[in-house]
Amino acid sequence: MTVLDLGPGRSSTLAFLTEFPTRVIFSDLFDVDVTLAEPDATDAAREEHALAVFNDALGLTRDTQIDVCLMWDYLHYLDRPSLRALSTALRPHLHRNSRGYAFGVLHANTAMDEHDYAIHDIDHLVRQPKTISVAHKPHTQRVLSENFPAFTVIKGTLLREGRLEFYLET
Amino acid sequence: MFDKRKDNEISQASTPVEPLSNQPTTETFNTRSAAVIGQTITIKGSVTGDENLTIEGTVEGSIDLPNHDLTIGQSGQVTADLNANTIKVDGQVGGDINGAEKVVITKSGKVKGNIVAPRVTLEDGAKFKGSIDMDPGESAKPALKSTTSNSAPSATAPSSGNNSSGGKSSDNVKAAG
Repeated sequence: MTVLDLGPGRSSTLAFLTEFPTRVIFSDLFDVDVTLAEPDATDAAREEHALAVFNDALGLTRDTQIDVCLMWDYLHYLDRPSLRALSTALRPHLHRNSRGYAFGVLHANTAMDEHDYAIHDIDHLVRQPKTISVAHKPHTQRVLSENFPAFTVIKGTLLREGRLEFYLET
Repeated sequence: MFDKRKDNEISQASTPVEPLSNQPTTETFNTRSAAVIGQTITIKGSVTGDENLTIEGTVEGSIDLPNHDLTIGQSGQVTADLNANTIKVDGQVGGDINGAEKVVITKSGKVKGNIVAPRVTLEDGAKFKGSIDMDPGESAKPALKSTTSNSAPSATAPSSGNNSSGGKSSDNVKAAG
């Protein structure tokens, strides 16, 4: 099984995945700047730039096929062109049984606390405050569906404070 | 998604569990009679040998120590592919790491590269970016830096001033589903 974690390497996630015959890739995309410096750049230019950045930053070889993609809340740190770029970058590495996990929000004005996430065990996650604050604007499920077509939400679970937990498939 | 997952009722992931405590790692490394590349030494090229090695300096190239232990000390800055029996990283490594027995990245370690080893440990605070290939059928479980606590949940509210990247203020959040 190949697991792609878009966050930084976490000891607990690694310890959990050791139970399975796994190759885990920690891309740590939170540490990557996908924005284009030019303020007047078009959306197409932003998307093209972000795609080039993601293709390099994801660390995936041409033949890598992802079984599980742990996105945590990363999608909410991207603007719409970058969302589309990430979807495009991931798509060649997904197959029909690929699955994803991500957090969402019920409303666009739902506050999102800034945490790093990891797996603790089959029923629990580990949540730690981010050491660096990163600008973000939560996306609704509709925005994600329109701009991140690599995955489709198959199950959403309402958490407290208007947050959502998404299980996704390709 | 994972076979072992139970069918839980839908619930809110709102019950934090006692923060994981940092416990000393139980990993042991043979540092006796290890050759040392000192902090002021820079090597460009291939490093090979038939003994344990500790690197506190700078190495660019490759390091090949089959059947021996390699330690990248806190001052060590290595841009090289590493091959050894056991590899412990306290410093910085850019390159692929192949540990025949195990690889440990400690809380001060920073690695960008791919790791292949039957047993890999990331301590809380370690920085890692890349892939990790493990074969759990051939290894014991890795020594965990932090362990599960069965204590009553606490409403931990990390202070905004806490910049720790370790597990000092972590919560265990119950995942619904």
